[in-house]
Amino acid sequence: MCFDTELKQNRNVRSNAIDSTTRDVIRGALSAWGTLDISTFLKPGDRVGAFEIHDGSGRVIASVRRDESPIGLVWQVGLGEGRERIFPSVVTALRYLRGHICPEREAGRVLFGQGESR
Amino acid sequence: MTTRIPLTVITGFLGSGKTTIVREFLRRKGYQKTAVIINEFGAIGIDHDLIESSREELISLSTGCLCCAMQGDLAQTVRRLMAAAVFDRILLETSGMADPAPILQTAIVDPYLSETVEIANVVVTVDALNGPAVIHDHDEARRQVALGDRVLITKSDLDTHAGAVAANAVRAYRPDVALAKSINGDVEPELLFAPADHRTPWHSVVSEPDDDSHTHAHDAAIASVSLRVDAPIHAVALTLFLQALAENCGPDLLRVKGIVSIRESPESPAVVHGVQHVFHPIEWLDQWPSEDRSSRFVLIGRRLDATWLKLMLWTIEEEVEQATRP
Repeated sequence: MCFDTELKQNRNVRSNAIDSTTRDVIRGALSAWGTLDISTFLKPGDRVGAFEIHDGSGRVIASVRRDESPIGLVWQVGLGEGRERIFPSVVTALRYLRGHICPEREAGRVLFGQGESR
Repeated sequence: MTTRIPLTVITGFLGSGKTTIVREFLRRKGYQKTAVIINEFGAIGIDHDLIESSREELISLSTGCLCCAMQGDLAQTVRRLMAAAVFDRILLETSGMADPAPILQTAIVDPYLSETVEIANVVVTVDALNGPAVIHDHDEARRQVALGDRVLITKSDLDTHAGAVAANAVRAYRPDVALAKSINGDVEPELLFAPADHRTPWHSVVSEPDDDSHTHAHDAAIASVSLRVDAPIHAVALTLFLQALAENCGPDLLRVKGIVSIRESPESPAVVHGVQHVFHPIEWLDQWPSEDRSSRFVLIGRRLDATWLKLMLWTIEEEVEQATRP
């Protein structure tokens, strides 16, 4: 096997892993927010590796993709017709997405106690 | 390090035997320096249990202990108690409908309380006869069981079989919780208060062998989820993971306990424990309590998917590793 073929295969394996991570992270988040299968549906998008979140009427309300970038793997989140925003962290990507899909949902902020660290 | 006095919260549904346990405990010799706070927090009003408890004030005072029917906030009450006398421990009895979470959160975040008291235990009483039905029917009872370190099955002397059924009902929600019986309010003091070495009972909970990631679901959706991760994680990944839990699980997250292998300090595991989104300061152990050096989390709440939580932790760790790679 030539180096180029091996590299391409490795990239495909990595790409598939990225896709499944994206799908599973988003599916789990929608489920945690209580919206999956109630008001939203997750489907593969038109773009490679993208997943679209549909509302009950079939309208695309968001799309999420995880891709390589010069700064490493990033999350690309698009909302409706708006432009995509890029997040280097799954935490901030989900925060942005949740604010759009279920802004009314109460989200806790970690608060550490003031006692001495034992 | 200052010495904080142990505070045990005793909670349980209406009529489950909390007051009987408190009363019997106060009759024991050698425990006179116990402050007892009887009240509740949260939105629920004063109920039948509290009225009964107020009557116990006379009995408790006659043993030399102080009972205080608390009307103000917990910090103010503890401050007043500490000014009045020297106490070795505090027993706080909630009302039957109370949610213990705000009490625990207050004890963690209040500057005075966090310096003065250490939450030793959350003890939950479950009536052998009515407990299974109460747990099934009442969210308050499920929250109490969900937040407990130890569950005491009461009144099992009246029906041994019912005691076993009640234990199973508890186990369905909290397979990890410590279970014991209390007959006529009799309970060994060590079941109420922390071990002598001041290590939180949560250590024993998270260090118990457990299957790999799994969920114990139940009809009412409060579940106990266990995560095990073999590879150490970055300290910042742990913080981000806790933040992700709080943000995405929100009010569905009731309690988090964990012993975590941190890459920056592999010999000193971090112990995390939180009530909803409020966490104790991270505790660093001098050494691992057992040969098992994997990170282990126990999470209690609703809609908690062990596979997704593990994926989130893995993804966050991967991103931190990517960002910190030279």
